[in-house]
Amino acid sequence: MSLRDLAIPTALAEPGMLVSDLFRECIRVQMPGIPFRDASGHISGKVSIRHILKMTCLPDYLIRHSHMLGDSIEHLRLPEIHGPEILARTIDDFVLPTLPRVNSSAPVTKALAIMEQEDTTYIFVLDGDEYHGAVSIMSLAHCLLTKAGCG
Amino acid sequence: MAALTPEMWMALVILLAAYGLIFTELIHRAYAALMGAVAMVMVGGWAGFYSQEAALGSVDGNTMLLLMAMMMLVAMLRPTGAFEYLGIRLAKLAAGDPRRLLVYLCAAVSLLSMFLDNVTTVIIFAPLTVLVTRMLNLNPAPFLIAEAMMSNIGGAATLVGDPPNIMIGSAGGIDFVRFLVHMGPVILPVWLVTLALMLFLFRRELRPVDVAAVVDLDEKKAINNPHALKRIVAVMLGVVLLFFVHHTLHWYPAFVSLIGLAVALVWLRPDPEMLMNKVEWTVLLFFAALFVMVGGVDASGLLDLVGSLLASYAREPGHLLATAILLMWVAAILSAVIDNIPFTVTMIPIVAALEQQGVNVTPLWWALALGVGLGGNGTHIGATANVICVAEAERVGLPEARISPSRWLKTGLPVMLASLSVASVVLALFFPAFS
Repeated sequence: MSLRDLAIPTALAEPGMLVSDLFRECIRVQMPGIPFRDASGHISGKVSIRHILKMTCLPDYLIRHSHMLGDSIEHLRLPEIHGPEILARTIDDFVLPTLPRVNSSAPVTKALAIMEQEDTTYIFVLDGDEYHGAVSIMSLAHCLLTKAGCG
Repeated sequence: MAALTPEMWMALVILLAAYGLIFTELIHRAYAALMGAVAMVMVGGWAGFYSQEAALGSVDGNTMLLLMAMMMLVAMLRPTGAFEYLGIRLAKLAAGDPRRLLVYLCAAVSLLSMFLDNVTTVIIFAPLTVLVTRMLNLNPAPFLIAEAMMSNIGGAATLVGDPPNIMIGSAGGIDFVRFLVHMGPVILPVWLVTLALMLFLFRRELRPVDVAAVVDLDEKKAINNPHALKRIVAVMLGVVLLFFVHHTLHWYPAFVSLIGLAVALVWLRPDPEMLMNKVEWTVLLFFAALFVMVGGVDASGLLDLVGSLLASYAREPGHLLATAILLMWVAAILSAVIDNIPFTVTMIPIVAALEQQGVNVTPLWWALALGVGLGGNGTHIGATANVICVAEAERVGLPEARISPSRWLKTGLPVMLASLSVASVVLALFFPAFS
């Protein structure tokens, strides 16, 4: 089974897309992030749930000392904007320039190696600017369980 | 006035060009210093006033090795979580009282900065301070400003507290105990006055906001490796104890720190790559290059000339105190706006030249150390610790936590002026002891 067969088609994030729409799409396809297509039509980055939540809800000092935190952190009065405010924002401020990608004819091992290098659990299958979908580590594991071998 | 020789002009031009690059930050200061050092050796060798051997000899090995060894020791201490443990314990001890929290944190960073690199101390304490103050619904800015200033003041108290002191002690032949005995009685009242001033200047921000707020942090979880912690703390205590007796043993402070490092490396077996990555090689390169550059200026005779111009005034017994106080204030004002390391490296040969001219330079060493140590509090760029705290405040993401240059100045300038005034008074009242 090739990466193209494993790829789950997803929508592409575009300038002006709301965070709420991004979240809905990610939940629908069960992917933590989707590629971003800029105004010129070029797929130039990605947007992820993790990055949005980190930027809006997790100050650096909190992350650094998270292992020491108790459960009473409501006192922190974090500067984040909550729920509806986050969802009403556009994704424009949260686009990441990194784009873990692999072409559709590449072996699964290559996809895994790139995921490891980029420290991510999902990768986008692209042939040039032709987007086929996203492959996650879960789908690769599922493939291994259900098939004799993958890629 | 004696005319400058061609050698002096050559050396001066190279020095000013390099310092111009350093202070304008057009390129990294280490690169600028290296370029200056290379140019100095080339020009000096060609003109016949500065050989390669002289250049190598101008690098103060005691300073370089002491800095390197202490960097490595702190690199082994830091991952154990000891600093975080201490910070959380102090925060809990303050029991939610902002003023007590400020006093405890200031005391901790000052004490640590007396023996360890104050930049590392602030790097670790600053984010923890932000977390604790946010838990208590307090504005972190005053605490960050206070920590930076107090770490600078604490670092000025001992021979190993900050790099200028290491250089001054090395050049002046001042041992650890003598340094502490002379600087301690000045720094202590400076510290107390500064603390009082900050409690007053920040009085509005230090009012308790939420009496129910608690510091919900588990300090036990801060300790990552209790085994390593015990060992490295034992080594550090041993090093500090040896600092107190190094003069009796006829050991350089660098040798003491290397003993500690050797024991720590064998006892803890840290990963060599990790350890080497933690050494700030650019800082060491910067220092070495400065030594070479200023060594060239010294070899040209320019610094002797400057010294002789000052000597006629400073030689008069009644003028020595005035010279010392003037040196302290000039050093402080310059340190507030430019990097104090190049200034210190340049002043050291001038003071040494004064000694050769028959001036009692002992009080001048103290004045220089006080000036470069206390002056760093004046502006937000006066010391690296200040820059770190300003950056941490920016990361909080709250407008009221931001420390703008003017906000720093509103505290820094009074603190600097008050601390210099206190130091001047102590210096004047007990001048014979400093001579």
